[in-house]
Amino acid sequence: MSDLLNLTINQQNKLIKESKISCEELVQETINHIKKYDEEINSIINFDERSAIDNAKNIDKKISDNEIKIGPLTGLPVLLKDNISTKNIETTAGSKILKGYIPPYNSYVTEKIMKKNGILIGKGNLDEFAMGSSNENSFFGNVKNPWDKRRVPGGSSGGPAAAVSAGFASYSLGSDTGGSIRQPASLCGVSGMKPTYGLVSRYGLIAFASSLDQIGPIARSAEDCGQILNVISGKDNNDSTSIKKDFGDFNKYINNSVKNLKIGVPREYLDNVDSEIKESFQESIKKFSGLGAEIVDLSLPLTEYALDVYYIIAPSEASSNLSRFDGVKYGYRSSKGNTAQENMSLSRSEGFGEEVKRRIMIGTYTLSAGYYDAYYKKAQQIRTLIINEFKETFKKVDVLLAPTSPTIAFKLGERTDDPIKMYQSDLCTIPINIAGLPAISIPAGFHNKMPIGIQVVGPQMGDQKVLQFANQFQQITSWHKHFPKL
Amino acid sequence: MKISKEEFEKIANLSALKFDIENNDKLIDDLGRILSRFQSLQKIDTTNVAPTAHVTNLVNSLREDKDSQILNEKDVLSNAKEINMQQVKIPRVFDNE
Repeated sequence: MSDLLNLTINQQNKLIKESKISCEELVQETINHIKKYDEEINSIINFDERSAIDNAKNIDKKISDNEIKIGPLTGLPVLLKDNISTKNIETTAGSKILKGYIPPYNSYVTEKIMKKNGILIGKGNLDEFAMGSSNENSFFGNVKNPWDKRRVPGGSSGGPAAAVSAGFASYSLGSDTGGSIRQPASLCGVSGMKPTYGLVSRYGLIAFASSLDQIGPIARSAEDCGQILNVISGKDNNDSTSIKKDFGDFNKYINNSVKNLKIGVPREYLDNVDSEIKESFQESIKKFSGLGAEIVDLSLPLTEYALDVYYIIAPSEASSNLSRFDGVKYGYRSSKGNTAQENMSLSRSEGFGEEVKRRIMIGTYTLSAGYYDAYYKKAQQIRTLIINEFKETFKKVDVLLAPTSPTIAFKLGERTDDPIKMYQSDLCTIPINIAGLPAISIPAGFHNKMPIGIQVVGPQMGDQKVLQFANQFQQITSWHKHFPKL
Repeated sequence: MKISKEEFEKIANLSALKFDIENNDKLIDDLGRILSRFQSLQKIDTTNVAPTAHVTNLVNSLREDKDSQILNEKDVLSNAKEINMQQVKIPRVFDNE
C-alpha cells in the first residue's frame, strides 16, 4: 500500500492544503486499494465508487474556485458503520431485515461530516444490529482481520476498524454499546474512542440499546479522534439525551504533560486477561511512569457484576427497540402468514439472525411480568452502584488505565458455538458503557504479530483528558504507526 | 436453570418470533445458561438503591410545543412494501373465524 493511505488525518489534510494532492487523487487511490484488497477482508458492505469520485471532483472544484475553505476533514474518505443512516444510500445494520432499506434522511453525524465536505467511501460491515464481538453475525459475511485473515477483527464495528487499519478510509465512525468501537480498534491496531454518553447525537443511528449506544471515531491516532469529535459532537434537538456543553477544541490539552497526574489501575480488569496482555500492559504502565504520571493501584469490586448487568439491560432495551421491525413500514416482509400478526412474526423470524433473536428473547424474558423486578430493576440498581463506584474513584485519580480486550484477535469460528464465551470478549469495555464514561483504545504492543490495545478511561465529560493521556502515550510510542501487510 | 418448552413458547410469542421448538434445544439451553448467570446479581444488596433512570442524570428535556415536519408523506412511505391510497397495506388483522 502506498504510504499516503496510512497517513493521519492531519497529514493528509496538510497535503491537500498545500495542493500536493487533490481530493480526487486521494479518493481514487483509496478506491484502487479497496478494489484490490477488500474482496477478501469484506469490511465494506455498500461501496459507491462513482459518487465518491464525483464528490471528490466537486470538492476539488469548490476549492479551486475559492468557494470553500479547507477544513480538517475536507476531501477525506470516510467509512460509516452501516447502522448510521445515510440519505438515499442503503443502510442495513448488517441485517437481512433491512436489506434494501433506503433511509429518507441523514443521521446527525452524516449531516455534520457532509457539511464539512467529507467524502463517503462506503458503509462499514458490522455484526447484525451491532450485536456481537467478532463481526461473525453479519448477514453480509464475516470481516477478516487485516493482520491475519484467519482471525476476527472484533465487533461489532469490525468493518470500520479493519478498514482504517487496512487503509480503506482516512477514518471511520462506529457505534459502541458495550465495547463495539474499542474492542475492534484494539484487535485491528487502530485508535477508537467511545465519547461520554450524549456527547454525539444518536439521531439516525439504528438503535440497539439506547441508554448505552454512543457513536465515536476510529482513526490512526488519538489526535485524529479529537479532530473528528470536533465535527460530530454537539447538542442536537433530535436526540433529547445529547449534551449541551461547549467543550471548545477536543484537542485543547493533548500537548500538555501528564506529569504528576494520577492514573488508576483497577486490579479487577487484569483478573481474566491472557498473560501476554498483562505483560504488555505492564510495559504501558512503565511508559506512563516515564512520562511522570503517578500510578495508583486500586480496586473496583463491582466490576465482576458488570457483564451480567449489561446482558440484562442491553437485551431488554434491544427487545423494545427492535419491535419496530415488523415488515410494515420498511424492511423485509415475509410472503407467508394469513393475518397481520402471523405475517409480522414470520417477517421477524425470517429477517433476524440467530444472535439478534437470542437477545430479543433474553430481553423479553427479563422485562416480562413477574421477572421485571428480579432482573431489569435489579440490574438498573446495580448500575447505580457501579456509576457511584466510578464517581468515587475519579475523586482520587485523573484517569483509569486497563487492557481493552482480554485476548488478541481470536480465530474465526472459535467462539461462535458458545454465546457466553463470546460475551466475555467485552469484559473490560462493558463497565465503561454502563457508567456512560469516555474511553479510548490505543495500540500498545503486539503478540504473535497481532495488535494489543489499552484503554484510557475518564470521568463523564473528561473526554479531553482521555485524549491528552492517549496522545502523550502516542508521542513516545510508535505502536500506532504499524500497519498490516495485506 | 432450565427453561421449559412452554415458557420458551410464551416468550417467543411475546417477542413476535416463531421458532421450530422441536429443533431448538441448543437455543433453549443457551437461554437457560445465560439466565442462570444473572442469579449472581441477587448477592448484591440493593435495598434503598434507586435504579438508574439516566446515566448523565438528565432529568427533563423539554421543547416548545410547536409542530414541525421532518419527513413528507412520500418519504415516509418510500420503504413500504405495499401501498394503497397513500396507506400501507397489510394482511387482515382478524382471522376469518
